[in-house]
Amino acid sequence: MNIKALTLIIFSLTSTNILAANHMMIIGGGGEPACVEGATSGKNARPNCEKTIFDAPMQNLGANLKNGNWNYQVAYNGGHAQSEQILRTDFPNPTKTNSAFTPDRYNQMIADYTAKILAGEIKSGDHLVIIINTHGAEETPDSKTHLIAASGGAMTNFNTGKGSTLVNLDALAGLTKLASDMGINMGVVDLSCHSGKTMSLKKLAPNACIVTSTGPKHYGFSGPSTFGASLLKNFKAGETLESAFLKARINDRDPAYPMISTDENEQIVAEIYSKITPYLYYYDPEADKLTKFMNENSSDMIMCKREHDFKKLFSSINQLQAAANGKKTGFNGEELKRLLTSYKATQDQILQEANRLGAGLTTKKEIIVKKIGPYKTNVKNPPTEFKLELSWETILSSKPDEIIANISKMLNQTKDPYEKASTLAAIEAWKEVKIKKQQMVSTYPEILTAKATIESMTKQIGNNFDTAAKIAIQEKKFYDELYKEKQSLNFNDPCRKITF
Amino acid sequence: MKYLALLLLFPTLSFASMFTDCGEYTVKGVVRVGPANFAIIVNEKTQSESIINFPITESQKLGAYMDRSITAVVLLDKAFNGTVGLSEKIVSVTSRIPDPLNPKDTGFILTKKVDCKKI
Repeated sequence: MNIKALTLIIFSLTSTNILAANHMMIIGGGGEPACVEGATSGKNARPNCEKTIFDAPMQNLGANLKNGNWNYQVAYNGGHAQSEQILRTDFPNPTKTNSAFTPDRYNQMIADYTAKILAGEIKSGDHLVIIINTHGAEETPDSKTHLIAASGGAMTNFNTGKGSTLVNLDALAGLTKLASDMGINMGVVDLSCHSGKTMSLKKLAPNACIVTSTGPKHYGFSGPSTFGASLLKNFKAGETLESAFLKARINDRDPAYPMISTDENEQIVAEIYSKITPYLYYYDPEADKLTKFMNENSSDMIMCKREHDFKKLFSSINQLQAAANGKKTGFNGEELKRLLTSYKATQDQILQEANRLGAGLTTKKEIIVKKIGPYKTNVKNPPTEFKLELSWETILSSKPDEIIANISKMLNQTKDPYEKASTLAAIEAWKEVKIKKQQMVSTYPEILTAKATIESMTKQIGNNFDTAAKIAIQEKKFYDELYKEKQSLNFNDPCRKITF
Repeated sequence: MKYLALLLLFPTLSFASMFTDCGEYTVKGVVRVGPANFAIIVNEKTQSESIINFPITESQKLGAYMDRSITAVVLLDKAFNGTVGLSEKIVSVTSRIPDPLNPKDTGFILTKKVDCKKI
């Protein structure tokens, strides 16, 4: 451990008010397959269905809580016998009876902790840490954080969260902000897939520490040897949330991108995350981000940016390596560069073909506007334009002639001048769509089958989890070295004030 | 053109409990063309089939999705008994690939409440 890190830990521990109380809200275990009577093999058969992938990290946490002085509430799982046993044996002294992780219980716990803060039962200087140990979905436009799986229903789509009962981590915003404003040492630890989106809570609650098991665009992993299991195992006397995070991260071997809401991490993420993102993707038919990436990132502009980003990434690696020259434990980025170069070449073959086929253009939008009128109407401020906003994909799969024929029939169904005028405008708009479709197919003759072609090419890579995992192992060393280089002695960082 | 007639809201109907609230709904269904407009059919060919009609101009937004499964956000701000209703506004519409494991994953989810307009 370097002197800087040691100094930070010692200062954090000696600064802690030994009379402060520690509170923990623990939720998770959702989205896992239930037992099906009669099943003899697979995830719905016993004993597989009696546990969840989140159990090992829970056991690590339970062991540490037994040795510490934490007041905790647990809403975990529901319907898995071995998981429920873990609650009984490893979390024997909750302040409220352990329960399943249902949406109602989730809302109740948030209300409960909010009430405790307002009543002064949890006060300035106390710790309040929320642990989220379950499946998580990708970001959606209507959430600042993201949705996670509660009990009830197994997740079948690990991107959208479909199949499981979902609750929104946005519901933690009020509690997190309140705790932050009241000077409580607030921590939110989200171990779910796509958990990097939970970092957005930091904007509302600058005095909170947020830790996530991965970035917003990547899966997280759970099990005995994962980041989450290590992190919760590191919640021991002598550690801060930051030191526990750094120790868990350097030892993580999965293609995830754990994050923490310190200034150092923010700088690294701004410099590196988007550039290394594609190389942590891998093909897996059951949980696939690589195919979508290939189909959506092959336009000329994105390909140009990709080359630029790759050079910048190498420049960052080289700079760090140069700074480490001569040091005993100097960082060596050669293996990382070698692995990145090799995987980029594999991806480039598919991206170049996707570019040639026009696959990346299918998300491009066309906006067609036609004036409505003239017409007589008594309606005040009637619309004057008919607007169609369609993606290339929608245009290519539409049948403009059929649509025009159907709309033309509608013309005869109305005598209202405005409706007639707007229907005529719609027909003109669709005639333009027809021309655009013809131009698209003429410029990119294979665009109609491009997506299927790229899916097939990506599938041929096979399950290359190992490729992404090897890059991830080197990335962890790179991040760790970068973090140490940037590490300040800012003792007031919230992640250094949460101690175990 | 006359809009299709609205059915009165009967609180005792089983669907009424789904649609006592006016608001923006996320709707999963299929777009079909009728003589006067494009409409969204939810739970098509089942006993719980619902048809959402739109004014002719608004319904043109659905033209591109004719005979396709879609997810749409629509404003239902008039009493709707769950069988046939009228929406004045399509907020958004996108293609949807039906879940092969659950092809009947169609329906309504209220995403934003608004006051009902008096008829």
